[in-house]
Amino acid sequence: MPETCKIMLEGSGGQGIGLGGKILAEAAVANGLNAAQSQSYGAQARGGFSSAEVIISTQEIVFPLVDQPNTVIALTSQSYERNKGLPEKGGLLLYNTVNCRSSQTGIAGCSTISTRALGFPFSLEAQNAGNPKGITLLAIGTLLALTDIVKAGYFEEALRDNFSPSIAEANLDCFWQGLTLGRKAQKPCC
Amino acid sequence: MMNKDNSIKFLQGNEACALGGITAGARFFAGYPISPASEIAELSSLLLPQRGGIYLQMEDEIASIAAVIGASLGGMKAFTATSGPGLSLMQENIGFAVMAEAPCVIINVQRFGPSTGVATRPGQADVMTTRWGTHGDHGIIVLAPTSVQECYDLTIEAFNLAESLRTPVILLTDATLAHLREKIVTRTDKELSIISRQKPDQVTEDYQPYRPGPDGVPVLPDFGDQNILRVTGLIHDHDGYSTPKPQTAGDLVHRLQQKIEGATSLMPAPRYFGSNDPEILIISFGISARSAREAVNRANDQGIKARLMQLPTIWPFPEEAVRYACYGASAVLVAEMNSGQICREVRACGIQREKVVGVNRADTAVITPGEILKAIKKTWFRWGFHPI
Repeated sequence: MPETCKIMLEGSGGQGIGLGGKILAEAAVANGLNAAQSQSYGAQARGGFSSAEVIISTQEIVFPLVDQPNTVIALTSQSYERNKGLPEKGGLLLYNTVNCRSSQTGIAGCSTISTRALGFPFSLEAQNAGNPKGITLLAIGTLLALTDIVKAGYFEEALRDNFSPSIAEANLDCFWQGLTLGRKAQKPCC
Repeated sequence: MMNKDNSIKFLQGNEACALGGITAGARFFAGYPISPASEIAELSSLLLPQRGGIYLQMEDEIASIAAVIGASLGGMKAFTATSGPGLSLMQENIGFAVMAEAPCVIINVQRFGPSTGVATRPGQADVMTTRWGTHGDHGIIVLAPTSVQECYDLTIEAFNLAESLRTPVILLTDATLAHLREKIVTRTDKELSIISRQKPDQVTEDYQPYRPGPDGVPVLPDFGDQNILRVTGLIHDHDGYSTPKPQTAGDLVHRLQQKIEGATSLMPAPRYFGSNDPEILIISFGISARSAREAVNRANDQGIKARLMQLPTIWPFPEEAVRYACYGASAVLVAEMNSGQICREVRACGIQREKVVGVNRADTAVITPGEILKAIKKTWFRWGFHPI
């Protein structure tokens, strides 16, 4: 993990983008790191473009907003298009292959353009887990499997703190599914 | 989210304001929901009843500030929260709170634009509204946090100042800070210095509620106590009876200003970051000061001698400190998300007009470190300096 991880979570309203970002930041704080989180706020909540910003750092966070992200989770094609140049700048891009096209397809449902741009069928996996709204938590699971931003255990705890027990279980299933995706992806295709 | 000893929390700016108010001893909140301030009301509605306090949702902002003043005169620490359109509605009664010397805290979460503007986007254009929104000569205290931690700390400070000086205090935040989440350290009231207003310690027949103490602040009873408190927005004498006498009017208006202007040592002092002998001074406040601090860090890394002066107290404007800080600098940049409201005040301190340059953004977006750095570099090279 770089000293300061500037993460953008981008998708559409209803995918739990804001809450996913909040849980990720809470997990980072529980993990002993500094974190700042903000989200777009407005009509996006009704189905349009939605984004959340999370900064996680071992240092004091002076400017708390993401001016230039170095890690992006893109759940929509618009987001993918906007961020596809990120890997060339040394950033990490995780994208949803269900609605973001890429030229190469790897194994285990994982597409890859380079080691810094990784595609996964996040919406399909969330549907298979019976919880389409858990897509952001699933994608964060994959991110945490591929990087060491925050230990997965802290994320699980933070996730439980944000939901009633029954809902937490369904969301944890998504998160674990995401972790599995990321762990499979690490060696064969990434 | 809390740690085991509950002192470290990960909160939104709005939540930190509500928690700060309650930690300072506030037990009354009256408000009317408005973006981007509503979470302050929401959390207050949850926490106040748990602590024996009262939350009232009013029919509008005029009623909200009226209820807050009433609760304050009854002896409670009271607050409200709103945004620009609501602040405009509150102005008449803010003046009443000044005149009636009713301690209270008004949190104004700035959103963009005049009128209803853009409800969910930030601005910093209420600087002058907080100072001169209500009519007549008067003193007012306005504090501006730059982080979620400062939302908590300065709300507590706002209550302490309100209670010490018997005056309304405005906390000026913005939409970005309101919804930003950061790690903060909270304290219990026992760990903090919490100030509560003085009250008369005995009942006397010739008691004059508005006879001021040496600091210009009267010791008032609660409304309904045995010592009679007469409350009016009219010019009044030491007994609280209204009068148009020029001497009384002049003395009262002077005292109401002077008790604030003469107490600046109680207010949070400017904070400085960056080079100790700057060629370029950046003055900023609120969320813009976070961008400015990052810009100053980057400028210092590039050998540019720049320093940030962050203003936690906006009103009374810290004239002396600004004059002193500007003295050694060759250029002064004022970074703010409006068309130059603080910049005008800096110039009014007597700083050479051509030395003061505004770095402004007034389009719903937060001014970025990159924009401020660009302005720093432009100024640095224009004035003929070269990186070390």
